[in-house]
Amino acid sequence: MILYLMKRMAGACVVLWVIITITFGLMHAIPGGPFTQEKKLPPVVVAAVEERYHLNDSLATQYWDYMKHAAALDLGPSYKYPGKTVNDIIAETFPVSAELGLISLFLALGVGVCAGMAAAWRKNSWVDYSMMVCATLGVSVPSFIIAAILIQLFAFTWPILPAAMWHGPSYVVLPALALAAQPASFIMRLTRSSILDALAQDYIKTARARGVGTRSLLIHHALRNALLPVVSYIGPLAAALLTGSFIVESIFAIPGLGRHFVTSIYNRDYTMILGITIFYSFLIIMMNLVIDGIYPLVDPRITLQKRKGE
Amino acid sequence: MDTRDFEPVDPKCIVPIRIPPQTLRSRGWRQMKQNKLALLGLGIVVIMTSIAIFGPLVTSYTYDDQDFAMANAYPSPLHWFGTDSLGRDLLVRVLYGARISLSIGLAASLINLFIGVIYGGIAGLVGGRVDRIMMHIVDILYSIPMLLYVILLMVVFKPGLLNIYIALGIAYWLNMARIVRGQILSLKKQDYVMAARSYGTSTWHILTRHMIPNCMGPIIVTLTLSIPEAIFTEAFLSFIGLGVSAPMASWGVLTSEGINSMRSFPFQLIFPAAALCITMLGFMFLGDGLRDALDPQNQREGNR
Repeated sequence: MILYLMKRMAGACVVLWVIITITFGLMHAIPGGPFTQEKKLPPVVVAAVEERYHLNDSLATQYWDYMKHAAALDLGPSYKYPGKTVNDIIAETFPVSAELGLISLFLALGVGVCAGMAAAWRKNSWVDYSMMVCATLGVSVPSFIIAAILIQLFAFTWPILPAAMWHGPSYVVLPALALAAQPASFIMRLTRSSILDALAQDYIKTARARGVGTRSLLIHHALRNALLPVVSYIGPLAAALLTGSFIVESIFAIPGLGRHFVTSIYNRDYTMILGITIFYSFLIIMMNLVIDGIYPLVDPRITLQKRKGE
Repeated sequence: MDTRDFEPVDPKCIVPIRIPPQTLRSRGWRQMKQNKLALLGLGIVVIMTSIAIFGPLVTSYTYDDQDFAMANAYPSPLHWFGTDSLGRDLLVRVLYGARISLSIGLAASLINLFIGVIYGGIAGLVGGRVDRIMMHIVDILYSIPMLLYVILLMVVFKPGLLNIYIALGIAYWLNMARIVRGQILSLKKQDYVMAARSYGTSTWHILTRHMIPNCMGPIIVTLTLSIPEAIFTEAFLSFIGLGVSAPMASWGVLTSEGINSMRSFPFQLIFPAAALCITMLGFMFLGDGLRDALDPQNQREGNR
């Protein structure tokens, strides 16, 4: 177990190193630097600022310095927000994104799995058809359009919820809905098809022959086997909720981390770009590790060292 | 591929059996015809594609004709979809948007296909250590948040149609590579491949006549479903201002412009958004139908 974890950690470090290197290269390939502005600064000032942030060092030196600091979990100072480090900014804004992301995740999981079960249970009934139509719509409408429709409906036509900002529970509802709509639809389709697969298995027939009721059959026998594809989707989903959230965050003017990523690229805020990319990638890696830990709980035939299908 | 294990039979002894082969196309089409949603999807895709190709040819305006006297006009017989804030005809812009959005979907998916098939094909065919290393690389790339990289790439490349093709194409081939590799690996072990080999069939012949046709199903399905994904991603890019450059406009650009004026001129959002969503639906229905028709046993895998 410990050996396994250490192996995974070593793997994660390699992945992070690759990510830092790619991002570092790409970032410096963007024309312009963090202190190139419309209004030309006097060369002396530019030189002083570049000296201050070591931007006049060779790229190799900068890379090496960054790696040393990153290894000590220090992501460096932000160029655009003087006096703040990247660590500060992440610590300040990530809790907001995490709250929104987690609420959306649970919303998507709850709605998706329940709706998928209902659709599979009543296969080819109006329940199934209406659920499938909703799910297909949910998958094919981009989240910013859903957000726009939600704002129009619930903030302007029937003003019952705030249109934007982030000041309390009622401010969470619309962005969480906008963010969860697509994954919920996807999970629903996934759950439905895998429950239908599971229901066609022999052990279900056996259980039915033994007189197990439909409800218990569905919940105790079929669902557990049907959950595996859903579990393996949670990893990429969490990533999508976190990275995809910057659209929703900017529509709803939510002070989260997502918005910083796009602005930092426009600002050429090198340390911020690197810091946020590393942070997101780290989250995804951790998420995958947790998911791999969940597999054996859902399906005891899978052990940690050997995943299904490998 | 190793032919040493088998003594090829003298070709003269083999009596060729001529049974009309049940091709992927005929079998798939028979299945598809029974699936109404898939046919609807196919219809939508065909209509949208012909609109994208021929639509702009028959209109009386161009996508950048400005008419300030008619700015923000509501839909009328003169301008069926109304006009935008610069007085440009929205219908024409949606038609041109179809061209741009669909071409992005198609081009990005073809680049995915190209990279994915070559990468996955090599990994699957060579196997062994090469396969392990190549798949490790895919695993590493999988844990990178791709949307972030597409954004970075777009800033490096400067927004533009060709660059969107490239950025989306080189970011999303991982899935294709995995599917192709899996297919090749399982096909290598199939009896009919062994049989073909024992007849002394050349590697090239096995590859082109046996392996590739049998891989086509999952590849086509993945390709069909990756088109809407690319259109989607482009719409996101447009939303943060990294889409095609003005005055050209994809559906993503039109939609995000529409969102800004949603309160005062809702039609500016409704028409492009509807075009975008209907096309998405079409591709989704078509992709699902193709999956059911072409690889029924792989249904669950493809769903991921």
